[in-house]
Amino acid sequence: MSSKRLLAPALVVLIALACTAFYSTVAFAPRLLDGRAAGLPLALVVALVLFVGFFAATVIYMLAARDDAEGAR
Amino acid sequence: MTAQHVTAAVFFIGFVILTLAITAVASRRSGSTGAFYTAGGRIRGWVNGFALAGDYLSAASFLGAAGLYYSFGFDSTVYAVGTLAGWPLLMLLMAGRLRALGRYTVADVLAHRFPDRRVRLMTSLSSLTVTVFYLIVQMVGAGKLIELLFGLPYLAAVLLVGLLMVCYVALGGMLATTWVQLLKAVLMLGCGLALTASVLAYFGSPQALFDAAAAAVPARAIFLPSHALAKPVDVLSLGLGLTLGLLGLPHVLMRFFTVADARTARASAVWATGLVALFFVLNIVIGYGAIALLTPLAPYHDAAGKLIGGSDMAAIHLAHLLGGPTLEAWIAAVAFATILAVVAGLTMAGASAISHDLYAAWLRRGRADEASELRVSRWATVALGLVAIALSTYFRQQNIAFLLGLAFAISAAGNFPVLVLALHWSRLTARGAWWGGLTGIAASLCLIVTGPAVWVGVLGHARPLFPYANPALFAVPLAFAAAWLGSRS
Repeated sequence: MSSKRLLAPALVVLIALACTAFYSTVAFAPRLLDGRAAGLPLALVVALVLFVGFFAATVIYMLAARDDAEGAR
Repeated sequence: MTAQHVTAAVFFIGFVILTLAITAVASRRSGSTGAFYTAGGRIRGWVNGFALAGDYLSAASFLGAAGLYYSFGFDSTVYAVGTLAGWPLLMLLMAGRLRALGRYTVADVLAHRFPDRRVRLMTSLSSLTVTVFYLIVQMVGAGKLIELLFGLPYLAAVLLVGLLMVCYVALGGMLATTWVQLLKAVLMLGCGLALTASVLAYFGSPQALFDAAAAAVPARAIFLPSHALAKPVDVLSLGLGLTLGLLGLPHVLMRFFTVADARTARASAVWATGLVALFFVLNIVIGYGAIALLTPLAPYHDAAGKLIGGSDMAAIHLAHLLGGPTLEAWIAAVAFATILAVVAGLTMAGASAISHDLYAAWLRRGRADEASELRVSRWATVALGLVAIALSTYFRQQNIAFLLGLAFAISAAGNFPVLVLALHWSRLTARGAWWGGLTGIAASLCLIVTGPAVWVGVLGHARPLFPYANPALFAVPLAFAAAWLGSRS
């Protein structure tokens, strides 16, 4: 299997892991989100990092699939 | 009617005239079923991206999210993370394959693999259930907004929205819906940016904003999950429902049939993800701005100390405070436009499920002519409008972001498991698809009805039969298990 074909499953697993980690923290250890990072509330910084990460995943996949003959169909 | 009402009315009427004009133009190009359902598959990637974001950024995303920040602080971000996570998953798991397989509706995707009539029936009913529940959310938001702005009775407000949505969809089809969504997405992002800029200009920096918000409600930890997210099982269930719910929303999935190929479908998903993410960032500033600025001000609260019009009106009050009646009227008009556009998209999906899947493919076994199918679609639009109006009166007291979570849970359990298995698992059988879909929709509906939102909030019982507000954690695995078991036997 080529690295391009592995990209989609890898990104799905990464997103699933990120969501599981975030919701598990909110559910079982919300105090871990307390505090500040770069002067902003840590909980919001974590959310912003996830927002950027989710968007980055779509861009990476689009660029990788752009030259894929199968993906063009 | 006050001067403020007149300003709001001018913006409202202006938007309605503009969108009806768009609908009139589109109606001339929507004569065939292909043009009516999917705009002939010729929508460009960026336009479809804006329309996807427009379909997705509903009353709940704007009014409900700001209201949730105002009432529960960080909880609103918890909702945003789950819903945004669905976008890359939608792109990775479905966008390209849907475009390659689909024709007009989600049921067409399954019918491509399983010609079994039961599967089409189940998928159509599942799509309809999700669509109707989602419609209720939008109608409740519209009713509250118009009630607050014009003093119109709630029922009159939802009737007005129902009438307009029937006009957009019955006359203009998917092309009109797409153009209205594009316009609405641009307006909504413009409003979000204007309100965010006003809040940041007032405070000078994000740090100062968050400090002021924390100081406004010293007794609450607004940067941590609230008591509403105290049950771990409920939180995990909410997260699962929000993340996977998007992947089963018929009105969002339908949009991937309106572009030319899989590559354009993926490009539109990238646009949509970026736009939705941007709007969620703006919501953080608007939400905490509302906490910091509105909390100490008595004129925005009633005698009981509640925000006038309910917490869902926080963004509207914030606009009034920072920009006076004109900005308030503008934001309210855009919020109204948002609701109308989303309602039009939803109705389009619901009407397609009735006319194309239930009538043409299931009842007439593919022998219906185009004219009768279009006629049924237009009558289905009217029927959906009436059902949504009737049901929205029962849910008017609920927070719309919370109601949205329930709609996502139904979608996550009813549509997503069967769709993702049909696209990626070669051993799924028609029997498995039937049982998976049926189990998902039945489980999610049963658990919602017996849960706190309906059993206590609507039916008035003292305690719920099912203790959790969000059913996805139970209903989604049940649907997958039923599909697997059904495919083995």
